[in-house]
Amino acid sequence: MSEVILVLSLLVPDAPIPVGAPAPVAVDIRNVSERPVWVVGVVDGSEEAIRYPHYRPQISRDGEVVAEPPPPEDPLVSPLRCVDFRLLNPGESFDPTRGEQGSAYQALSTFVNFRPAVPGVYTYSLTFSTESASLEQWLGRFNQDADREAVLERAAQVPRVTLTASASIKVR
Amino acid sequence: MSNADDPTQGPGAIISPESLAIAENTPAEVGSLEGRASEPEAGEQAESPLEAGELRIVRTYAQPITQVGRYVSPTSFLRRVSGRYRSTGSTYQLELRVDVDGARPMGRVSGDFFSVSGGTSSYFGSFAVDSPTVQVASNQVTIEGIGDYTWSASAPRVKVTIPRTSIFVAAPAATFQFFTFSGSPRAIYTCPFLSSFFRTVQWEQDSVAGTVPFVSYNTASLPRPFGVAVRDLTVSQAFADAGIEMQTTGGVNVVNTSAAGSDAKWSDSELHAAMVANFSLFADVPQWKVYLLVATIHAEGYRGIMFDYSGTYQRQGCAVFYDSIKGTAPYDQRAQLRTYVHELGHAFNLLHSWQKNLASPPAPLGPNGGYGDLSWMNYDWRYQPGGASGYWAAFPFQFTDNEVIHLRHGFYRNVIFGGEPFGAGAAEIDPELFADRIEDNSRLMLELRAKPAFELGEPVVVELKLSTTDLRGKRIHARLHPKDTLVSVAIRQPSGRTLLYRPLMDHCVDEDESVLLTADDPAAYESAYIGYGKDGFYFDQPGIYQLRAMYAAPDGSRVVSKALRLRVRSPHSAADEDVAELFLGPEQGQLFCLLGSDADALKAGNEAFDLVLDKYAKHPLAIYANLVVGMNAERDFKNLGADKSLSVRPAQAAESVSKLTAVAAASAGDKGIDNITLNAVMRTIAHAERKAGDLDKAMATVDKMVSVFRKKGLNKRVLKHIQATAAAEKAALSAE
Repeated sequence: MSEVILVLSLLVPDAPIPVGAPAPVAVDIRNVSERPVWVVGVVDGSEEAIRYPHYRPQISRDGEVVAEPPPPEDPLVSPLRCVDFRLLNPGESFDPTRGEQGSAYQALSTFVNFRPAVPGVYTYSLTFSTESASLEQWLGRFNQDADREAVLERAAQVPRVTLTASASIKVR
Repeated sequence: MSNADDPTQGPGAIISPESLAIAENTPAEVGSLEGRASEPEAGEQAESPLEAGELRIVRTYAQPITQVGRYVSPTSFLRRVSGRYRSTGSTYQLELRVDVDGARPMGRVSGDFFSVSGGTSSYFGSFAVDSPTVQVASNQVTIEGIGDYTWSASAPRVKVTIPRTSIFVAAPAATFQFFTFSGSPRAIYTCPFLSSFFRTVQWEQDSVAGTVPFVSYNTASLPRPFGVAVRDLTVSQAFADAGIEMQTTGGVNVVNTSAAGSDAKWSDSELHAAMVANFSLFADVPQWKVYLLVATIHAEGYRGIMFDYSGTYQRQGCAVFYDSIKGTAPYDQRAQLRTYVHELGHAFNLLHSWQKNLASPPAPLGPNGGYGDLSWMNYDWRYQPGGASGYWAAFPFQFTDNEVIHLRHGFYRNVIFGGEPFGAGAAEIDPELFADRIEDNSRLMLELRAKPAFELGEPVVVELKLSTTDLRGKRIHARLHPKDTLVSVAIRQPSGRTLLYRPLMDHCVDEDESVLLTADDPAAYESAYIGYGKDGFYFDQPGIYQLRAMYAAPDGSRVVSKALRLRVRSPHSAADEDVAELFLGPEQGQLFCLLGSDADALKAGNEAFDLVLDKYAKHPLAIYANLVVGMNAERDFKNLGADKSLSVRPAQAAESVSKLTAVAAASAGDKGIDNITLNAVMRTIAHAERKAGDLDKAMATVDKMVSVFRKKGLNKRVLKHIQATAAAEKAALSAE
């Protein structure tokens, strides 16, 4: 059995939210291993899965997908930089949608902008993946040269995982 | 710099009192100096954003009026002055852009110089005046200001004079003149009117067999925001709204799908090959020519792509993918329009709305981290607030102001296709980036301090102080120097341009060096030299500068300092001028950043410092030459030769002590270098003395350091910290 290194969780309100209001969804990634690990939060292109790490959100109701990122518009994603890597100590967690210390982490637009139009139970899910076929899939398409080698080296140290978390939200 | 390599000196035209009189006093005659103004081409009026004004009642100003900043023309039969002008000449030619009236005036003047040699001309450099003063009289418009230049301009003030004429006669020429800071006139250029567009681009569009290129979208097809006119909006018109003329050229080639390979899906390299093969204007050089291919489907499923983002000459072509965006419904047509304009926007070197801060140099993000931009360059589904529905409910079918400024006035190589790489020079910073926070619950306070005035050439050093207002304590990271990339400093120059200080070298911060600020130890300090960085010298013009710093806290807060105002004085004497010249070289700037170096590449800088110390040893700024030379002398300097051999120049303790003692002596009172640097200097002296074998002297220097700061009347906490540092220093010296 392989070692469990990271745990992905979605934090949602217990109480129902009103129709038409966006749900406050927080994301938590925790290092449950016994060693420090490098991770990267949601960066430009993560949500559309056009660069690693992937953070693919999806919202469904009654088994039908009601919101997810559209097909990618274009591939001109921002550079990945040293400051975008986060060292998680054992037991430590972070919200990958909230930038700290200069990192360019982004909110998940699918979650932030979705406003349920009808009452019901909505399932919010998020798939986090670092399992790139090549390290170059982590890089940006412009202004990447300066940090390129350092970023590739560090990206190689990010544990390779694919994790999915989901949570239900009642809408009244 | 000789006149031959500075267009501000000439020869733009023969400078004579007569020519100056014509330029300044009789603008009506200017138009007769060189040729006649050209009439806009037929059809140009229809799309021009600047000539679209209707005829209204004439208002004549009896007296000149002066307005600072943006100017809106009185509506009248008088012709607007904004647009593009171009001089002729045998040495330099100027393409001038005047942007003070008409649609969305940005209140700027900019231009590109081309050096002419025989039958050839080549790009020389660009300038922009960001905050000019505009005077409007009944018979002329006069625009004045200080420019930012891509070269070191010796006469940086500019004055543009344009006669005001009826719309029924040809547009008159603009007279453009440079002046030194002190007001001495320099080169003058007479620039006949060329176009009401600021830039003109030749746009070639091909399509792959089976695709249907987009034509236009009627803005009344779907609900539109208040104020959006009903019209058939084309891609060309969207750029015309920004002042850019898109001339469609050549026949539309139909590209065979076999160019996409056996899978019929387009890869970036296949797109580039298709561009090279089909772009009739392709030359793989910087030129105002761009290619758009209406392709079928991209291998990765994109809607569009500016595929030319690697190699030497980037941004020459883009593509849209019909299979992903096709449709005749209004929603589809509107989306197609946005995709076409968006991808061409990338070719103009515009980044996505949320990426502007990652450009080189960084630019400000709009509202909500850039997601709130109502721009062609945003994604509708990412728009905040409200996603796609919110975006289309408010989007006015235009670029943002900063994007318009880039398109119209960005320096030539930053905009032209095939110029700077994608993402480089893409925009300039907006002071709003560092605007006051509406709410600040960070419990942190950032202060930016410096002495109120610097001499021209004097290294500008600022002190950063981060303190907490939380008596329970607050954990911070202690990296306050901008080189660690966690603190940013914005510099608003006298010209009105605002730049982000970009250190010569960024340091990747790996380690968590957090410290706890408490009631007993409530502040962290850092001193930073910010005079020179990746953009060269930031304080190389006399005038008033405003600075602001922003600290990125570990919890994500952005703590902004109050604005710091400082003055750079004009030289008072020939010696001041000479020392300023000797300090303002690029090698000297790097030596200030590095606090000295033996590197061969910086030899000229070291020679300049030696000359200052030799010729102007008593000059107040000589202490900075002593500082750089003295700090460097204290080190063993490793030099890797061209043959890969390593040599070590051992520390020159006596030299270091001599130079730095002079610095410390000059700074013991309220003059000289800042306290944090003085602290470092005195500890370096002690180490140099220790290296010279005199431990007692080294210890005495450390004691003297405490004494000097005690006399300066520093607060008790800071003094206590200095005493602790001194004790640690003495222990280290004993152990060496």
